[in-house]
Amino acid sequence: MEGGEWRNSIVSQLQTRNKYETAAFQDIIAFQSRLFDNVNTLKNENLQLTLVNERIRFSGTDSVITGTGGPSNERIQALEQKILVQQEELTSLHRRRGENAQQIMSLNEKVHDLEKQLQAKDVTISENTALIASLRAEIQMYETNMTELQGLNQVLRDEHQALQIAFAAIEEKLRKAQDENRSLVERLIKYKAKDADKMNEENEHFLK
Amino acid sequence: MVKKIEGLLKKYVTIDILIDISKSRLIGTMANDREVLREIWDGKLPICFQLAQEEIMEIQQPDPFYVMVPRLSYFPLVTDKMKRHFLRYISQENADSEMWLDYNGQPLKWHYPIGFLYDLCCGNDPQLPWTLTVHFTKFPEDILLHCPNKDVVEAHYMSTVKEADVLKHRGQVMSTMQKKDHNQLWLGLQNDKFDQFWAINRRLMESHGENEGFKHIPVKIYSDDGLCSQRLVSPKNNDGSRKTLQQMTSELYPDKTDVKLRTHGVIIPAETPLQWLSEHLSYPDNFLHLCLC
Amino acid sequence: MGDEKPSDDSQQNSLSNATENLKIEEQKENGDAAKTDKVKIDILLKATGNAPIMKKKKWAVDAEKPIGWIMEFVKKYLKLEPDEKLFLYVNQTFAPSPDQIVRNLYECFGTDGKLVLHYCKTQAWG
Repeated sequence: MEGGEWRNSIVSQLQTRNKYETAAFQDIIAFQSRLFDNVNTLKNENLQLTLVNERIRFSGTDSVITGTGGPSNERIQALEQKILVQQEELTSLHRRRGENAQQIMSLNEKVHDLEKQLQAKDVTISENTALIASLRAEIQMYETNMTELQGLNQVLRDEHQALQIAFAAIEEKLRKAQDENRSLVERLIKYKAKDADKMNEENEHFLK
Repeated sequence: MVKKIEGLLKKYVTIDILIDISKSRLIGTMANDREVLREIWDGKLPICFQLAQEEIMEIQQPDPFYVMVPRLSYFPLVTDKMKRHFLRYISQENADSEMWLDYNGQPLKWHYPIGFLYDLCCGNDPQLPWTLTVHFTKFPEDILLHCPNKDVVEAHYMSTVKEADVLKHRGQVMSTMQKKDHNQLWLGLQNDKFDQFWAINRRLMESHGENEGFKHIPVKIYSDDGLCSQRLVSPKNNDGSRKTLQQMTSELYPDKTDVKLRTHGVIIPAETPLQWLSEHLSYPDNFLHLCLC
Repeated sequence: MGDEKPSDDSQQNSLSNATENLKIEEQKENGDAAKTDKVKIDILLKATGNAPIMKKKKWAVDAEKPIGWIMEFVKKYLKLEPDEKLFLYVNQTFAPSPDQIVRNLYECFGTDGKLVLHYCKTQAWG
């Protein structure tokens, strides 16, 4: 921004100018303008009211002359008609409003109930979820048990089989042994019999 | 800082030239003195419009119409409400006639800015509120131009801005602007919107090229009787220094001494640089309108 | 409004009635013993768009005459209807205000000793 005496002179002259030309008159003229507008509005209203007044006065003092009264009577009737229609509308609107309020209340209740049901269901769901979890855990446990037992089972079977084989072998041995025993016993008996015969024979010889 | 330079080199160089050189290096050339621009823009005049006596057709005398009008505006832009007020009181056959104004019997040219008209008529002798007479008949064809609607005002305004641009920048700034910028200029002025207006106008106040300053200064000088003189004025002297108002008046009026010029209601100090003056104290039409006191 | 060669009577007689009136004014001046000191400025009128071209384009006009006067002259010369408009432009850029003086425009926008004005029946440069 430039400096210089000339600029200061110009600025101060402008400020003085605005003080004397603008600031001094601004408010007054603004106020006057408002008054002016108000006066005009009031004048107009006044005019309207005077006209209405005249019309009423004419229709009031001279009822025979329907010329001036007629139109205003008609206007009054039309307005009354309008009022009736509006009142009917108003009553029906009030009624509807009551009904709507009622509806709102019942709907609110329903919503409330449904919310409660929802809550209960939520609870059940959570309980069931917990149950499922625990059941799953049990199943897991049983499965592990089962595998264990199956394992054991297998072991026992193997043992059993092994024992059976061993048993069969031993049975065989026993049979063999018994057979051998039998045959030996037979042989023995035979020998004993022979011996006995011999003895008998000897005995017989003696006696003679 | 400038004063320091002054003091130091007083002994060695001519002060004027030195200050000019140092200032022109320090400060950019553009209308950037917002304080001054704002004071100029905010200027408003109180006007009292009165209907010409011979035109009053009603028994009741119409109230005079008071209003604050911007100094920078034009009468056709601020007289709608006033016109509606007075139309009720004139003969109905004149209701569509063109309205015109006079001050002390002198018809007022609507295409001059309001503030300038006031300075021309009452600069030496302020009259506030400024009382003007409103007419709807006997349009002075030989003195006033016709103004059937606001578009005519806009056309005149835009033409003047273009003329100023030719003088300042060979017309290059206006021709490179878009239509919407031109519109914004007019709307800013019409609706009293300082920022909207100056957003565009600052481009018209810039200097281009190495020239630090306009090619020529758009200036119109008016004598008492309203005669207008327009000449090519350069913002620089032959030695390249910034030309002041005083140097311009010596060039244009070599026979007159102590020439005083008024604009926007202020007397311009003689040593004001023309370039700064053009950037800051031009009217919205980009011209300086100066009245010889 | 004067011819460049004011002594050329035959040329003056062949002009239209409208311009005749203006000629009368000029003849009066020439007939006057005390010759008036009026400075005259040369103007060159150029047609633009579909405007008819004037037979005589160069004119010398009183420096103090307003542009509006030139507009009226051209309208009469071209025999335009009263409702037809005429637009004058300087520098093919702006339309000067009708009350602007020829001298001011010449001083600011004159070239080669004359002021060139473009005329048009419709708006050309806004």
